[in-house]
Amino acid sequence: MDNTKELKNVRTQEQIFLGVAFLVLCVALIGCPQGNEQNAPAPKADLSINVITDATGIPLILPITAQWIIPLAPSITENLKILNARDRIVGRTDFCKVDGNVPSIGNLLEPSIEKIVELKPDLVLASKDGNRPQVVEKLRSLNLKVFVFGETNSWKDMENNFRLYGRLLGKSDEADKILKDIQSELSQIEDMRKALSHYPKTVFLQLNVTPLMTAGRNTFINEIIIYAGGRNVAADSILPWPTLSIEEIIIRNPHIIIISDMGQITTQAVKMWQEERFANISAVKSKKIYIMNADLLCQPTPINFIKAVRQMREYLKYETTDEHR
Amino acid sequence: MKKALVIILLVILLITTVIVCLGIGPTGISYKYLSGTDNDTESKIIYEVRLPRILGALLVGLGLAMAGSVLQAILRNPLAEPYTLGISGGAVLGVALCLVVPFLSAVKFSLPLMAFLGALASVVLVYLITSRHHFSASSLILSGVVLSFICSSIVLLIFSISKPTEIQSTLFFLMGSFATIDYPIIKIIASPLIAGALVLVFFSRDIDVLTLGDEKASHLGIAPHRLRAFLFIVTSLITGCCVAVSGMVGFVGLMIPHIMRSIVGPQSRGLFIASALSGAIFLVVSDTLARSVIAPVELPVGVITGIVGGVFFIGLLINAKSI
Amino acid sequence: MLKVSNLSSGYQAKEIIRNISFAVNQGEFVGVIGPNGSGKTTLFRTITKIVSEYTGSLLYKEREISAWPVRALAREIAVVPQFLIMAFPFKVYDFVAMGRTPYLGRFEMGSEEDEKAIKEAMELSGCSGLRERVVTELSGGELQRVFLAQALAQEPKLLLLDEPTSHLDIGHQVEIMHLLKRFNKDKGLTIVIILHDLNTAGEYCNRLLLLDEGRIYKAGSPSEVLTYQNIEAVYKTVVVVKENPISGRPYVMPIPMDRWETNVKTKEQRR
Repeated sequence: MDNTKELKNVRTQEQIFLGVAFLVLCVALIGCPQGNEQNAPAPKADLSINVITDATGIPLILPITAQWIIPLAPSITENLKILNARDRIVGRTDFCKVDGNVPSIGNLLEPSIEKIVELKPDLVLASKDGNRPQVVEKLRSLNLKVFVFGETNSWKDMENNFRLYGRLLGKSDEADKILKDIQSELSQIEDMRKALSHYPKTVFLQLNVTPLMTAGRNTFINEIIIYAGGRNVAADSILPWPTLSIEEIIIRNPHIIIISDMGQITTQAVKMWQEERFANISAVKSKKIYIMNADLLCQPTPINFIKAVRQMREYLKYETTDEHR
Repeated sequence: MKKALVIILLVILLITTVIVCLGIGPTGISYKYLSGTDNDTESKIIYEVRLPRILGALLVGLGLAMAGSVLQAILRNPLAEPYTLGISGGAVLGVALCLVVPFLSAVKFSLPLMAFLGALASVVLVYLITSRHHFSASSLILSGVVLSFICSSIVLLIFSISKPTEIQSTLFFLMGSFATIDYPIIKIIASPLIAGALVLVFFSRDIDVLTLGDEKASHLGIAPHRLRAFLFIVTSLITGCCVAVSGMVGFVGLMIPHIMRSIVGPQSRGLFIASALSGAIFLVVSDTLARSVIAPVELPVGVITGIVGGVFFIGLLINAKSI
Repeated sequence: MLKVSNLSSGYQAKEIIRNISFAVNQGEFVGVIGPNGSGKTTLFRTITKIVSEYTGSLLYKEREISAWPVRALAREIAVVPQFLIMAFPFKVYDFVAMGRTPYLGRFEMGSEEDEKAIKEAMELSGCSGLRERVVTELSGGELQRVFLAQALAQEPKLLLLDEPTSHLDIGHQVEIMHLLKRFNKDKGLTIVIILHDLNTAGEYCNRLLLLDEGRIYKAGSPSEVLTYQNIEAVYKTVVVVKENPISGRPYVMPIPMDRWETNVKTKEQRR
């Protein structure tokens, strides 16, 4: 325990040039009670199986020190934040929302490797969805500990990944508790959904304007729609992120259109639906076009998942269809 | 001897460039490394991040400039280059196939091998098309454009049916980058690339003769078809090696030999060596710009050479007396 | 030196040379004449292995041409082309030096001997003054002398020239032909030259081959070959042949069609 503390001090000193603000944060990190908690012996559950394997097949023996973490994707950052590990983040991508003065390491696909090395993380977290295998390999060749999370295509994946976050951070109990709460809420929602008297409403979830990209069957977005009591019009697609043609959308006639917020493009998307050719679409006629926070849909964390389900339920709640079960 | 002087100057410039560029990057390390550094992080960044990048850029610049000058000579056309001839495109297609087809991605060395095969296939196609038109400029450029287009279309086809995760890697190949380069891959490509370059230097006299046309070449005791086929294979090998490391880096092979020809003249031996050296310098500098211009964001190096080279190419088209 | 018997050759689709036989002896100056498409250039291309498919026999120094390696052949036979497209701006010296290619190994640098051969070739063909010039910026006459110098640098035993003078004015024509005559006399260089200009051919060559549609129509001394009958038959045009008052060689004058029809006397005149 003393050893780690000493190490921390050395590292902190070295990072003085990164800015006083950052230094303050580091000191805070050492001082905060949470830090001590992490150094406490790992919970029982972790002792029984103390080897975890990442998505690239690289095993990692737990417990590890994970005090200087660089997440290589915004979704990883979000997961870390949920587990109150914001203080352990020493570098971020340009897309990660981290308050305070955390240096950037560039973008997801081509992060600046020397910047990462310079920050001396004891753990780099990458995802199969967001990062290139070449980057991971390069980092590993530089003797950095890199853990790669598998693809997140379902709630199940999200749950599994989140448990892994818990174990990596030595916060398994915390993670389990969060998951348990969400799981029970989901079961409740599921029961209510099954009790519905009418057919599920059809939803077109728009992720882009040109092309008209949406989410297919094997995605967590499809699951969000189902939990919310809807039916994804693109659920028959084998591709995870299919592009639908305009005529296909007109024929599939969604009751609700949900646009993932894309900034400027969103305005463009809203305008697009006012065009004459879409006039017969049920969602357009009844003005059921909603804009949803893109982070909820694009950053797979358990919290975002449940938030997305809740929000989408709101959108679908006041919908009734003539067809009954 | 003006030529010898230019080459010596280029060697000195290359060494200086390498030393200077080792010290430039987003983390702003000073030149303390020259006197040896005991700081672990610094030495890691210098010797395991920047040095392999610089070596990679050096080799690729050398290879592409060499390939360009040879292609220009054997096709007797100053617009020939791996990029404009669609050879790089073919190599990228090979790489794309490699990343997507599970069987291929499992085999070791399949990446450079597929890049080479892709390059070779393009060369054969370009050769077949243009030999019917006596390697005229228009047939060369047209077949190059068409071939690049076909290759990129197939790459896009692969994209549209693969997972986003698989696309990303290939996409980076299309843009060209040295960011994740590693010593093992450098080791794999270095020997065929350098061997290929040496072979070309050894054949420089024959290549000179080949620029006079097939008939004159055979009058001077050289079998033009065999020689050209051989040189094409060597060029594909070099291009394939380059693409396997860096992806598609355009216009180096066009611009560098052009500038060098105006300085050292068209004689192949001097031209090849001067082009190889200055190609290496150019790409090392480009890559340094790529990692430091808007640090810590990495620019694809192909974007930098593409812009610089593209402008040069347009200038060439405007100013050329005849193409 | 060169012995051709029953030679036929051509390209995939078409036979150009049809069953011709002739011989060229050491030290001769032979002119090949004939209308366009009569097979003059194809004959040269067969001799230099550019056209590799042939039937009959084509012996150079008692050895079948197909058995000669190109490199060895290039030390024996040099060719001066009518024209070359210069893709790159080589210096004249470097261009002439390429004539040494068949003597140099791949890893060999040019020796003093090579240097001497290049210098001599340039002096003989009168292009020493062009040494530092660039081939893409030379005039037609200069270029032709440079081609000649390159061929001479090959130190050939047999020199083939394909219409070397057709792009040149009369002054340069005479200059080149005079040079060739001198090589022939002083060095004993055997020359076979394709010529369009019948008068130049008659003036400089010891012997002429008149080709017509891939066959030898007539072979022999200029006065035997350049008769109005032969020329009329092969070129399908009316000519008058006279004797050059100074050299005593035959001199061919074309007669315009309309003059021929209106002037009955001409028939006697041309004898």
